[in-house]
Amino acid sequence: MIQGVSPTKSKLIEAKRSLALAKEGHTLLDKKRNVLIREMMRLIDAAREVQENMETVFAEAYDGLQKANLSIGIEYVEEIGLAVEEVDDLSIRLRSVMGVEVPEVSEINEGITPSYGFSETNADLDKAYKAFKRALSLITRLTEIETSVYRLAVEITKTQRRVNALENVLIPRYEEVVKFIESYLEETERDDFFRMKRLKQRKEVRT
Amino acid sequence: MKFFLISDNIDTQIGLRLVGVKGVVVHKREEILPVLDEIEKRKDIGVILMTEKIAEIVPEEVHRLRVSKSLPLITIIPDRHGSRRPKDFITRYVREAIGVKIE
Repeated sequence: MIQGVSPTKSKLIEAKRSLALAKEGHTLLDKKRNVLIREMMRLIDAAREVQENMETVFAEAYDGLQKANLSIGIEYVEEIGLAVEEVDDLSIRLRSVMGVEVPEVSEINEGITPSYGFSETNADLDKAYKAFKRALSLITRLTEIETSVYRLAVEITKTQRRVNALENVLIPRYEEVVKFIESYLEETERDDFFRMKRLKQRKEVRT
Repeated sequence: MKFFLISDNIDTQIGLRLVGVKGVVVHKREEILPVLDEIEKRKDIGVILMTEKIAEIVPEEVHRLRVSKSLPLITIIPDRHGSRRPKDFITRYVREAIGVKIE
């Protein structure tokens, strides 16, 4: 006997319907998870590349900056920075993969657009500038890839949990309910059948 | 669209300013939150850059921005002392999500 389930024909239909729905949901979620995983795998090589470059590129950039600071003074470097035009040609497109917004960030122009005079600066500053330009370009790659992977990972974990809940909890429970009601109904049917038979026998004996 | 940097040190700020990224230097949670609020209201910021230390102070905000369906995106960058995050910080997400180790 299952708690809270009354073994009637209408409950049986209801349980069967729920079971079918749960199975359908399971297939769909499973498909969704596969698509998400495939999408994430596509990014794996790029991710590896970016995370490998991070350390060296940033070390070079900060190193270059330090040299420039030493040779022409940190205040002056800061002052030069104020004159540099702000980057604003960044364009970001969001692509939806199964409800996950995966960003695509345009690459920034790595070309050099000098915005300071050469007479009072030196090669160290140029090097720092170049190194940071590279770092910024890596940052755009990092933004795109890390955000995508992070979002996909969160969604995959969520989907996985739902798939598991359906597979291990809901579907078995509905199956059990269906089985229980079916066997109960069969039992009553046999009961009735037998009673009818007995009645018929008695009737025949009397006549 | 533009970048915006929230940094905890002046080096990161100066270095990125050289290549056209504006930013602020802040240290405490109470200082970071209003800055974040303001940036989120601005429509011209596409990517927020954050140094690792700042991200460690406001982890919930970072997560919220990471999964939010709208812009800006958020990226964490190392400071001049090098990255404190593990070397496989991106492929680690993959491993955690699908339980397969990616070399």
